[in-house]
Amino acid sequence: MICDRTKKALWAGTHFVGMHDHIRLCLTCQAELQLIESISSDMLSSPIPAPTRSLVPDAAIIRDVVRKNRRKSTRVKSLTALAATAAVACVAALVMMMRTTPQTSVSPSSFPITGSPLKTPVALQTYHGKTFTANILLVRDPKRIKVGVTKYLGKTGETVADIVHDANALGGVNGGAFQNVGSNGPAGMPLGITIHNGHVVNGKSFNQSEIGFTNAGQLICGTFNLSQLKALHVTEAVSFGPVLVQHGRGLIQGDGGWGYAPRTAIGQRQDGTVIFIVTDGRMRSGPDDLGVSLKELQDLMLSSGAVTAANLDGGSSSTMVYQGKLVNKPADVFGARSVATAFVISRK
Amino acid sequence: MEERIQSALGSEEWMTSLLKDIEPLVYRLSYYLTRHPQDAEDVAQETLYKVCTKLSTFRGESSLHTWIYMLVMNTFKDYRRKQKSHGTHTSLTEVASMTTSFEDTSDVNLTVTQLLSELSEIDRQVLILRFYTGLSVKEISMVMKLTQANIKVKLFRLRQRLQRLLTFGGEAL
Repeated sequence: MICDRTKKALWAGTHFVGMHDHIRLCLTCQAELQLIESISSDMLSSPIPAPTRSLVPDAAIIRDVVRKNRRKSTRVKSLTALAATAAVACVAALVMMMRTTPQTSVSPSSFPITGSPLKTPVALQTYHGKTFTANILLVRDPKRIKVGVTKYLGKTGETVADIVHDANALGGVNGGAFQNVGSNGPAGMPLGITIHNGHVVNGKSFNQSEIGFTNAGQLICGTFNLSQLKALHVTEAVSFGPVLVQHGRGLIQGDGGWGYAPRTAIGQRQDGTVIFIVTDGRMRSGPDDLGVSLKELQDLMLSSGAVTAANLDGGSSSTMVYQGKLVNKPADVFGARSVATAFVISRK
Repeated sequence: MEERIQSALGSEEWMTSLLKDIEPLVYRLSYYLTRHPQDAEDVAQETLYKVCTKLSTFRGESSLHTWIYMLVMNTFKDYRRKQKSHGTHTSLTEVASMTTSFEDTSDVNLTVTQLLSELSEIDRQVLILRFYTGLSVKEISMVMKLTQANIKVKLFRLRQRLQRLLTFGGEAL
């Protein structure tokens, strides 16, 4: 019976064709899935005592290991004097590879890519889930993506629509974290490292993931400081998180622990195509419109073919603008909210 | 991720940032395995040291995460062996103080915690690897060096046991 097969697959963490369609219709299997998800999220969120000390090896040990690694890689390569700066060379080589052949994969990927290649430069799709509606905006050329910053930097924010308009862009979504400046008005200053056009708007890290693009158009998500971002030639960046997908693997465990809300996320396929997802929520479009959990957002990204993806600012900030129009229904009662940064799609 | 590993191999700064990123993951897994904060710290510290020194031998045959979990498991096994030979077992009072810290959590949570404390070492490891690290049966079989069929059977038995616990609540104890 299909229920038995589903049950076994759920527990073993495998999939078969038609499994998800069956779960959608079968209450018993939905309950089973829920049980598994609750076990998993409980294990992730159970309170455990924090470690009393740093568990990372001493700086001296790390220095030693890195030095040995460098020597080893010089021996292996032993080709050029370049090897002296093996680390820099490695990164540079990768960036160069990305620059010259952005359409070919750098490494063989071990995961199926589900999203079909984009036929037009930009495409807007809608996905209707059970408790949310997701607007998915795909952009084939990652180099078209820039960070837009409020023109009243240091004073107040702007709506995404205004930032997109000021940048003469085709569209965009809200970006990273921000704070208010004095009593000037909302969202005057981005929080965390923010870079636009290679120019550092804010260099102070804020304990969040950095989400940005290298000059070769590669989406980079993770914990980086400013000098690391510079070494990777990151020219556009904001700060938020968590990272949803890294190397084709979902990183969210349980439901992600942030509940259901309107959310914005950015991702990239292996072929470079950039994926923006904005979901509504907080029942703005009816009782079935709850928003998404981080897990659902991660799964949406994976099924859109993302190999890298991160969550951006959400809630009332979640906004998507395309061709001069607001695509989603922002959750704020006053309509679209002011933000400090946005990812915008420049016109070709 | 690959460029991150490459960069970590050749730069202290990158290595430190990679290790700091995986630290919470490694610690929590160590804690579930050892069920004792002090032991967890030791296992996690040893594992992070191994990640640092052995990263250059990582060949990308599995994902980095699977590779790290494998290191945690092996470190944990070594640690247990050493503990046994030294006869230093976690005292009962310490275990008791640990379980009380779970009191304010939900029903399922309590049941999972109960189940974890009741299980044999091997079963506990299977449950943790499947539901904490989210590894597939194939990956668990790699990490634990058991056959896939064996792990599937173990998981299915765990399911029945958990369901019994959920149905009868504390009475099953």
